[in-house]
Amino acid sequence: MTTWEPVIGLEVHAELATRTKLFCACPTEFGAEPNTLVCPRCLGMPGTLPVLNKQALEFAIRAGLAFDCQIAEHIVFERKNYFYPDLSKGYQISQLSQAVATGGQVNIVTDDGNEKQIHITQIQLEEEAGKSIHGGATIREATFTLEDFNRCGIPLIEIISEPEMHSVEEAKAYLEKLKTVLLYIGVSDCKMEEGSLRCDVNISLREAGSDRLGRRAEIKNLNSFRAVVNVLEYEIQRQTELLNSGGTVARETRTWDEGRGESFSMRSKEEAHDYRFFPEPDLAPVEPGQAWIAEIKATLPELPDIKRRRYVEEYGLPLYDAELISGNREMADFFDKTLQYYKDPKAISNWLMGEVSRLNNQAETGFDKLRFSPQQLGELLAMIDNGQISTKIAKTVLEEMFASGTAPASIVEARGLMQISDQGALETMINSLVDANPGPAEDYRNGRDKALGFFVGQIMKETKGRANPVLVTDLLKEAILGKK
Amino acid sequence: MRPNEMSARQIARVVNRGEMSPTEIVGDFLKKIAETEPEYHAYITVTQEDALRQAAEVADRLVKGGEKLPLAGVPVAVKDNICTKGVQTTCGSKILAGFVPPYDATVVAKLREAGAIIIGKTNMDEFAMGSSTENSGYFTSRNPYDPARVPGGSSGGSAVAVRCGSAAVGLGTETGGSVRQPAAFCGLVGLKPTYGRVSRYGVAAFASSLDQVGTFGRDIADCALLSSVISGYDANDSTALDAPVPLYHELLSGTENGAGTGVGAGTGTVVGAGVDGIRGLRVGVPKEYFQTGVEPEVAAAVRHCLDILSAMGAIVEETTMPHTEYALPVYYVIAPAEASSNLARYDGVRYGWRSGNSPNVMEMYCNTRDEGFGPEVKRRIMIGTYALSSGYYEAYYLRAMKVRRLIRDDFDAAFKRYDVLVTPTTTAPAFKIGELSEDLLAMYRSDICTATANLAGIPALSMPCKFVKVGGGRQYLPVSVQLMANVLREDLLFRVGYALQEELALPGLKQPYTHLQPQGDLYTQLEGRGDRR
Amino acid sequence: MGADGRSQVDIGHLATLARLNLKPEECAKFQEQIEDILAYVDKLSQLNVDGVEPMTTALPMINVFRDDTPHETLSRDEAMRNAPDKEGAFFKVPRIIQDGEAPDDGEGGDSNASK
Repeated sequence: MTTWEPVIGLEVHAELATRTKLFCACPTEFGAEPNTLVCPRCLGMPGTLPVLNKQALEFAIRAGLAFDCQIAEHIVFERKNYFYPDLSKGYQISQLSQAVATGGQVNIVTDDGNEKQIHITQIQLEEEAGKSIHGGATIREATFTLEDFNRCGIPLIEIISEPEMHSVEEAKAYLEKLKTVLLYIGVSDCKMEEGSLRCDVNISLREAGSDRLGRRAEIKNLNSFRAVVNVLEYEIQRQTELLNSGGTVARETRTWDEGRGESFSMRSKEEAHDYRFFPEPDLAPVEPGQAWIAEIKATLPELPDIKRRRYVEEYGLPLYDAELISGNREMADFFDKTLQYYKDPKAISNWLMGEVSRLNNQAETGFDKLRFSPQQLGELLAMIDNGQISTKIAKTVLEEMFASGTAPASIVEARGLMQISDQGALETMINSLVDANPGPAEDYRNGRDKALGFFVGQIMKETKGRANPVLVTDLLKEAILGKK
Repeated sequence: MRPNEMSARQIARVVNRGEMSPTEIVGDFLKKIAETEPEYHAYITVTQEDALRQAAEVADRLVKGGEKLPLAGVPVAVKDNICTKGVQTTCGSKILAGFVPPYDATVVAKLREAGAIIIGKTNMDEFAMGSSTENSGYFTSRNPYDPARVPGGSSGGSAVAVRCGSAAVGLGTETGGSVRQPAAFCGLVGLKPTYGRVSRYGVAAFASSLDQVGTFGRDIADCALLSSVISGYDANDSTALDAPVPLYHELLSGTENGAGTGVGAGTGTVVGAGVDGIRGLRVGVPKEYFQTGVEPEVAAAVRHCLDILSAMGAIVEETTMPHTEYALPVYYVIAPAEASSNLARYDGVRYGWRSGNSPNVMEMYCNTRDEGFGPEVKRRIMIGTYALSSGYYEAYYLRAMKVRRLIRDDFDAAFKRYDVLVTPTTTAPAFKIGELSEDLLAMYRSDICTATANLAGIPALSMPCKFVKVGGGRQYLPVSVQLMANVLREDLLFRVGYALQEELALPGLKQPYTHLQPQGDLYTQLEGRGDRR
Repeated sequence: MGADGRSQVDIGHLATLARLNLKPEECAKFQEQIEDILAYVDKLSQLNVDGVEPMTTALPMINVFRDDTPHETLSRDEAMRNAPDKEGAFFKVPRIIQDGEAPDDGEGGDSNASK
């Protein structure tokens, strides 16, 4: 039987984090009362004209630069003509052949640990449609539709990939990386639950090893990574079954029903779309110029790929750690700053990926909202190294730092958590303990190493964990083995 | 003299001086509307109460502010595709019956700021597609010189209002001649400004790359005054030019009231010149415009203007603009293509007409647009849809945009050698209602001398230059000459136009005229003065 | 375009694209008229336009922007005053799907059902 290989391309729509819409100055905030963030332009009233939001254009260029794209010298907006009740002008102002950015790529790490480049065809700047709410359980059962134009006109970038992904995992990695970079450069909040990031998928199958593309199905408007994964898994299976049974895949647009977990065809007849693109006569073309592009480029932060490489090459972090930390801008910022106060990258990495992440998850918060500073984390780790506190105590101290933002030294001081390394005091404690427990002492002397644990536990209990464990062990051995 | 017989400058002057109140002025115009509307049908909406309220506001501003307003109390007829806040704006279409915009077009805001009174919204060919107002979704306006004839279009209603004196001046819109042609048919001065000179914000789009708001006046100075007021940069229109606006009317020295509004120098640059400015003027006469089927009498009238300019010291030369014959084919691709997209918004969802009881959105769209649009609009939407559709875009739209460049290049070359170009505005005087309605291409050809200026983006002015006798009887109709100049040289058009106007001294043009008016008996005036030219 | 310079126009397809519900007699008339007009504009094919830059705007213009500063919005009453049909805070339209058919068109549209 033929082995089929999926060929996947993704079109990601990301709402830009501007204050106002793309072609009018209505606010872009989420969650306002329906039809209150609108003006005559959003409603497509006669006589209204678009005026381009410079910030939106800058964000689009910024995204282009972050993905290594070529920024066009001459940018043109075009009208894409189609009817839909949430499209107020009967056309969407979008881009076609002279988009903001072309080329470029997204670097992903595949399952086998290799890096792979997924190329970007282009990044285009365009406007959102309004929101349709169907009066029924599903669009098919609806008897009417309600329209809210608050969202109509919010700026979007559409990032179109080449069909270069060949597994669900690659598609997922691509999306995650794309989101990471967009968050890094601050052009989109990427909140999928608010629809800020959406995805159209196109997928076809071809014979493994062949470079001929099969006919593809397109599935539009997926608003979670989970949905993308589900669609791809479903489509791979559907198309495989079709092809294996001698059928053909129709080139069509399908819609995904998350509830039923299946996709269905959106058009019964082959009514080809004809969007009748033409240059938008109401807008001037844009020529950003090298100077402005260079200015935007200069404000780009260090991007995750470069960070990851730096973490591995300069700090010797394992690829896993480097990928995970660089994948979260706030975490990476915290990591970089902590390094200014504490010199062991791996220790910082362990604490950030471990305890700090655990506390963040528990509290449903993030690295940008931590109450303690990178300097304080550095101080905490130094206290462990200096033997002032044990690792275990450090975790307790971190919890309090997390809750209150108090400096670790103050917590240790106030709560008396300083490690007991006073040999005399410990010896007294140990001697009386060994004297009171001749049985276990004898066991240890007879070679039962576990018996030592009993004594350590008792000392720790007595000192509330503050006893220096290394010193305690040494003193115990001396006390038990020395007493013949 | 009744206020409706005054020029806009005279009205502004008497109002600014406090000799008459805006309310008196408006009252007289409303009376005139009541007299003329039953016969000529200029208005879709007369804003009677609103006009009186505006008049009171202007009076208030004059008293309180002590300011002089360039259009103080001047009643303006506004074409019904220009949005007026709170006042129905239909675009001459059933699909917008009852539509009340929540905002003013920039030109309307500028009019209000200047103290003008929006007295009504005028009839037009639906969505400005037509040359006669016969394509109005409401009724056909009548030519004041002969109600059996069309007033021209698409801005026919405004032309009728200004000619009848039911408004002092008027706004129209231009896409291929929609101000100049009705100006010519109604014996008015009409200007199509440079593309971008006037904001299009609030003006329902027909063809975005061609549309421009134009002005009507009964003489050059009124047209110039109104043009100065509405011109200028607008942050709401990306295509609006950011260039200083001269006070065009103040360039016309020697006139009884060239600067007669009583308003001091404003923001503009005044390039002083009067009748003497004609000496040394380089005038090009593109021969192609005379090979368009122009009636001999019209051609003769235009040549007479050239003789006048020559006699005044202009250097007049025949020239050639080889791509002129392609202008209409280009126009009839680009205009419908852009229109097909611009009119997609009339879908019955957010405003305007919606067909009842459609089971789904698709049928609602199709029924709404079928019932709401008239045949000419549908035809052009279909042509435009075709010209943009997959497989035809290159052959039609893209090619038309390229030929448009060649036409523009013709003008660039011409303006290297000439200051103004002189042509007829139309090939013939006003035609009869119904005369061309069955012959689509003949109707389309009425834009033959005017569409080039829209394609090139340059300013062009039409002004009456002769009355021609029609039908062998006592009936006269005006015919016009067209002046074209390079981008932003409206000042030249007004200066040359003014010189011509004063030299031609045609009777009766500065006053309102209707064919019923005994005192306005054109025949008597024209015959009385003899045919000395 | 045919060899005779006349185009074969699919009026039904155009009417669907343009969302016009034309009656059969209208279709026939439009067919003829539109073909006449297309034959007329076919004059453009006589010209050699190789290397000519298309003129997409009436005058040369470039880089017209506005700042990212919010303006006043319409009140909902103003926004919806002209609505042919509404329900509460929303504009209301008939169902999107035609009987027995899948959704017609969904590009850019929000096709998520309300839950």
